Amino acid sequence: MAKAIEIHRLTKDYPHVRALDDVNLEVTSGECFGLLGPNGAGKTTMMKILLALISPTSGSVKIFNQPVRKEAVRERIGYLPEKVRIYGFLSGTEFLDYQGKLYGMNAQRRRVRVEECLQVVEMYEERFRKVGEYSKGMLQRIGLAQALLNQPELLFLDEPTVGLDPISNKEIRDVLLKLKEAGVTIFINSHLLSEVELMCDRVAILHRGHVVRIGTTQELATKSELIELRVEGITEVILSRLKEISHQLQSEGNHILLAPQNEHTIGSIPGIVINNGGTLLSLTTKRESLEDIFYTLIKEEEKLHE
Amino acid sequence: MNKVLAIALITIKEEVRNRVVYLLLGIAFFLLFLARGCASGKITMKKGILLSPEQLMTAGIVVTFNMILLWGLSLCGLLAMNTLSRELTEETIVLTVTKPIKRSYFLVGKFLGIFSMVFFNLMLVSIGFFLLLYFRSGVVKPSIFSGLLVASLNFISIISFIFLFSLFLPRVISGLLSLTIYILSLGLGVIFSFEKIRAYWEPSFSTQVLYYVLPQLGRVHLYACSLLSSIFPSSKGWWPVVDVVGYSFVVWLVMICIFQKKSL
Repeated sequence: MAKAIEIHRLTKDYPHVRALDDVNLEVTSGECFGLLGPNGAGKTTMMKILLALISPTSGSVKIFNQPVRKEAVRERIGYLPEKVRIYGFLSGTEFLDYQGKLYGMNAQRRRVRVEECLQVVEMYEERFRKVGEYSKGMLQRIGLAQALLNQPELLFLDEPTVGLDPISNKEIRDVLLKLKEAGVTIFINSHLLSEVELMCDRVAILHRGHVVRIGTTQELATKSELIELRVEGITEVILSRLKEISHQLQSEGNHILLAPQNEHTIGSIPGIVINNGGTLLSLTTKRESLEDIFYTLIKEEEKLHE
Repeated sequence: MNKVLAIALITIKEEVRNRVVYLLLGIAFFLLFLARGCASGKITMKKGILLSPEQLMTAGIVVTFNMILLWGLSLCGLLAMNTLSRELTEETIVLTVTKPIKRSYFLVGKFLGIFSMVFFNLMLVSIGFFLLLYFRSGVVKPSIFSGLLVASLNFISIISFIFLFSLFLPRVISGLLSLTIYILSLGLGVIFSFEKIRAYWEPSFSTQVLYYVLPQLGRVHLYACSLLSSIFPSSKGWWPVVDVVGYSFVVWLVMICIFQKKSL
């Protein structure tokens, strides 16, 4: 598969802090990629470098195999910033028409695309209202509309649904899911984990300028699978045998919670319990949500730094 | 080119809504109204001042034209110091520069927008002045417009300076610094242009250095005035114009280099 984004040994230093440290990342064409991280992790810096708003200290960034500063690259991308800042005196249509001119579209194409995009983001009825009178949700929609004007192959979204009401949130997410189905590569920068979990094929977790985990949401979840047992007649032998096949084990009363070393060890659990005099009442697997994984990882990283 | 014009047009639309423009325009027309006496040469003179009505009218024309230029300079400062700073602080620039457009085009578009606004307003006031002269005294003075065209070079230069300074200085300081350059250059230009002044005050070496280091905005200003009245010297011809063009070119080169690398 062709690479939409290639980040190689990317480092960005600010006067008193290293925002990104030797980051390597690849995003394949057509995938939806989520960049997660707490505040100050370096997400915005990475997004700004990808959009050529700032220059890296070292390393290289390519989009569609070309340097990010090339105009040809920006013809193929769309960008929705976290806070959509627009000239308030323009109407929705005027704003989109202006953005279309910046994409180099002719008048006829602009007219068609502006109408299409307004309808996609459900802002057609509000097209003649001044942008300055728009609510936060409307601004986000019109921002998304401008990002879609050029029918981008790669869409950068910076916290696309932050601060929106649940209905707007869902509607924008639905638009993005449709784009994903249409094969648009989406790069989302977010700390709304549920949103990323719902939309993204792959996720990178960024912390203090480092990528601490990268993979599909399933891969990350599998690595963090937990097994909950209800056992009658727990003995020391059962616990020590279970510890041998686990990363972590906790027991309280007749409950045992363990993190298996690999997915094949799950099958041996009933045998260990029964052969050592216990009665297995129930065995359930629990997958941690992305939020749990994220929280655990960040806490582990912070402990390491301490 | 269409992208540059789109940015220029948006800038004009933005400035058309700027109340300061209308306030300044109102003040300019009010002052023109007050100057109607000068235009007709009908001001009552104190005894002992020997000025003919023609001389008085020439003085009136020169003073009014200079007022128009200084008024234009204020307008330049107020519009230019806000436009780029506002784009940077309010981050409206982000959605523009992430489009397939060279960053330098953004600067050119903004510049064209501001210059068009300043020039349009100057033309309005100049037309007012031209009509006032014609209706009050029957004098037709088309050189007002040629003088304005020459002086426009200074406005181009000042807007460029303000834009350059706006990239790394607060907006008010950018504006004041650029206007200070203009006023200094104008003051030095007057000293170095009029022999009679130098007869009383010989400039020091440092003053001479400052005069030659600064852009020759003052000399261009005086050259524009010389098109209206022979009391202003234009003996050194076009070299101040070439100097200001050269300066503006360098300012633009530096500005583009800085802006290309600027973190947004």
